[in-house]
Amino acid sequence: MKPSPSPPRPATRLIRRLDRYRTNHAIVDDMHEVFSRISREKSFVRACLWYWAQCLDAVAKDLLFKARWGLIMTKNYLIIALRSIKKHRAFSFINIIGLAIGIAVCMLIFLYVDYELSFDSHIIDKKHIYRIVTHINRPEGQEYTGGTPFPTAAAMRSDFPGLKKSTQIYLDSDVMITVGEDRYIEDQALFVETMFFELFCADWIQGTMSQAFNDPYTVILTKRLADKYYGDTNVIGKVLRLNNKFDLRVAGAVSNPPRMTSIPYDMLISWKTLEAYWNSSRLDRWDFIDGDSQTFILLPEYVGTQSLENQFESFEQKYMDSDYAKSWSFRLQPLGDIHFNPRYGSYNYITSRTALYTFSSIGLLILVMACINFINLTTAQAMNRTREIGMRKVLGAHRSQLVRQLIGETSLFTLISILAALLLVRSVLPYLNRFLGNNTELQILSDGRIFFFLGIIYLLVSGLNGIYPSIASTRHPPAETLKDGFSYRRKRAFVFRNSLVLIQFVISQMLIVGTLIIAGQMKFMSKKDLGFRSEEMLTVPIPVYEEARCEALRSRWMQNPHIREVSFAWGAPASRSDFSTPLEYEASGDIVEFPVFIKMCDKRYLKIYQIPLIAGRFFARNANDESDIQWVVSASVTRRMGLSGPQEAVGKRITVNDIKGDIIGVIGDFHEFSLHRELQPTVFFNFWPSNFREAQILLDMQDIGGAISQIQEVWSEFYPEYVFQHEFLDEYIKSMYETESKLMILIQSASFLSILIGCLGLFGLVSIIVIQRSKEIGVRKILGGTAASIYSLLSREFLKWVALANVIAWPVAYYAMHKWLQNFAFRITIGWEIFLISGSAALVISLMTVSFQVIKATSANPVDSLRYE
Amino acid sequence: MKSLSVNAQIFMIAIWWLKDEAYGVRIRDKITEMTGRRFTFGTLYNTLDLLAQKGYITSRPVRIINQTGGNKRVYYTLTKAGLETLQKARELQEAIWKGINSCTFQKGEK
Repeated sequence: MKPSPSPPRPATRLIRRLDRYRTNHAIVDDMHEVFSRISREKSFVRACLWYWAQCLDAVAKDLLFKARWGLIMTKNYLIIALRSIKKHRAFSFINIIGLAIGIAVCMLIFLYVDYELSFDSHIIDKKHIYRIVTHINRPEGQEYTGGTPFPTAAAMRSDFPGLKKSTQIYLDSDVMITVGEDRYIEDQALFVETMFFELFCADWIQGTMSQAFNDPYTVILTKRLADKYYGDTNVIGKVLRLNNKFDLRVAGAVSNPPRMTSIPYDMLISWKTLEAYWNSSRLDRWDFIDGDSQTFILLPEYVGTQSLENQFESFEQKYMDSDYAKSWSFRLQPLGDIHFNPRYGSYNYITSRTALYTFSSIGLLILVMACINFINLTTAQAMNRTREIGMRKVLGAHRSQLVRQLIGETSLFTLISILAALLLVRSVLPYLNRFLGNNTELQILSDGRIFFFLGIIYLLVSGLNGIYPSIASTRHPPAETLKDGFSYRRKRAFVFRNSLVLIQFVISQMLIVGTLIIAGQMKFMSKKDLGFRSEEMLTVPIPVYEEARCEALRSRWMQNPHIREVSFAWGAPASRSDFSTPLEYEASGDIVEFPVFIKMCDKRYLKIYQIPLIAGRFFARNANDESDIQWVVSASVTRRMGLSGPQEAVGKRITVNDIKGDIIGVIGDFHEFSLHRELQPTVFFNFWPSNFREAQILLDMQDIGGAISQIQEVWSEFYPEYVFQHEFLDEYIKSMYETESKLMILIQSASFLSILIGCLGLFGLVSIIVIQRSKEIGVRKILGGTAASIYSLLSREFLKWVALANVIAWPVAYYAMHKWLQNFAFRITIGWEIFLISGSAALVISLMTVSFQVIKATSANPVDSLRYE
Repeated sequence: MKSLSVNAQIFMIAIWWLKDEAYGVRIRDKITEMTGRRFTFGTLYNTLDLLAQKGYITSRPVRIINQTGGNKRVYYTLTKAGLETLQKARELQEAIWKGINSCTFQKGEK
């Protein structure tokens, strides 16, 4: 006889599961019996259908049952939760605000890090595009640049069959555009070949790729510039003028590249224009690297980066002179690395990975602190509810139910905190964008990822925060909690919670020390004598220097009583343009050679900048011609030359930049660069006056606005075809320390927040202990303890932990800040008083936090705490 | 002694009819035969549990061997208390229906 068919297995399993609490039944067997009957009498399929229908019916009923009771209990939980929030308003407020701050900081940092990481992600072939970078081997050490000689890409296209898609681009960050009568200065004019569009896609609004760039003197505008110049994007065929020299024909319009790109541009100018753009043809030279001339290649998948780099050596030897081929070597840098690697530079700003890690870890630290604080406060609050928990237990609540209730309450708090955090983030975001600079534009709703992130935070925080307090407060037998209310006399729980507060104070202590040291270094840098006058100086670019014309300009300016002196030079002592070249000196047969920075200036430069003349004399005339070469050197040059004193240098013959001449004077050293770098040897000369590109103007700072507008007026008379620009020297010097001042603000706010959150945690802890020891305090008072003695007894306990936290934090902070200070050639030393100040600050702040609760406890009437009904 | 619900009466009468054969499947079939109602096994056992808890019926699990292998059945029997309650319920029924031949809807009544 054939065995009767059996019912579908999964259905059977389901039934068994639903029925698992009852043992005296035979549901499964009974159903089996009915099943075989149906399949015998009708069909197997009908039997299966019947069986499944029964199952689903049972499941539906079960779910409904559970949901109904679950809902009833949830309603109860919700009411209780809201009641306890209401009852402990201040407590709940502190709790929610603390957590909201933590979450908000974390969210802001997530937005920022996400923004930075999304750099260049709009480029479709990002993974396969590489930049050719150059390693320069010098006797002083290796240098790096992201630039390559101009013909590199063309040579690669012809030499490497795999590198057909290589392109050279050049960024000019200072061009003047004339449209009709209007003049504009643009800082992102990119010269590109047609090949550019095959690597980096452009989104064409007008024109096509093929039309563009077959001819010289064509330009493609981005939407931004098209709108700025013409008001619409219908621009094909329009003509604009570049640097007062060439007319460019507009061949198309593309949409703006995103802000997050390492290849930013406002306009694209055809490569062939470059040849005419420079009078001398630099485009064929292999002995010259401009950092703004870069090569990008699209690497086919079958070419390995290592094998390609190995082939570069013979490539270099083929094209370059042997000297250059020996010292320069090409390497590949992935496009994705450009934004994060400060070594090679980028057209856009660079964010180091370290900064991103620092940001992320500060965010996580603050979130962790907020969570710790939340756990402390929640546990403290749960103690007030031990009676409720005990009662629930007596009435038959399972422990898992209680845990679920408390976790549910926590997640309610978390939800409220997240909403508050969203509000906070929304209001802070504009300030943060401004603070970050670089046109950063962070948005909350840029995509759904922030909600994904918030979801994770929600689960993590409510899980993390719910588990400990709920387990801790449901651990004890109901009799104990009902009888006494507080059964938290266990040492272990104390150690746990105290160490949570300890961690918080370690973190805040480290941040305070960091703040103090950074502030000290910033103050040191702003007070430091740079060796030249840095205040009251205004610099104004001069398009063309001709001595007669500029002297006329100067005398017109000097008529203004607020203008005290004017000098023409290549640039201020500290300026964006620097030029390094070797200096050679023959001393008793030996040739000393070292790099120096050169600067060009007229005769008034020394006086206007108050740089001391140590020996010899300064230039007597504004501009010499090349037949009369004179050098003025800074004191460190004479030291590097190996001379015993500056006096000795006067009259010595040196070769700078392959030009021989005599030293006529020695001036004091000054800080040409930021204080990160050592003093650099500098040589001044006054021939090649066409390089005097800036007027240095000393103002008396009385009527600044009037003086500047008068300067502009006169300037425009002399240079009607150009755009007036100006900058204060002290503002430029300040901008050299932008990273540091941002870091300071960041650390300051982080330490403020961490102290705030730490104090919230401490507050919670004190509340617990004061409640627990209320009887002890009462007894002490009855037996004659004074309020002062009880106060010191209680606060000593906390200060002990804070002091311990300081001791732990100091070495870590010292080490970290010591490393940070190594960035500066001129720096402060870390003294013991910094630790003294930050330590006592933490002590005082925590003492104040503790005092509120402790004084309340000591001044309470002992009858209240000792009465026993 | 409390009065029985109609459902309980149906279950107990079905068990009474089935005598020694009163186990899950049979009880369910019998009820369908008697009243046309079809219970799920869940409802069936819930009601049986309730009656057993009140002491009106007792249960007896049995493992039987048949051609298809082992099979578990739970047999139910009425207790003395059960029978008495059932009897009371019947008397109550008859008492409240006494004198009524039919209670169909008639014109004029509200």
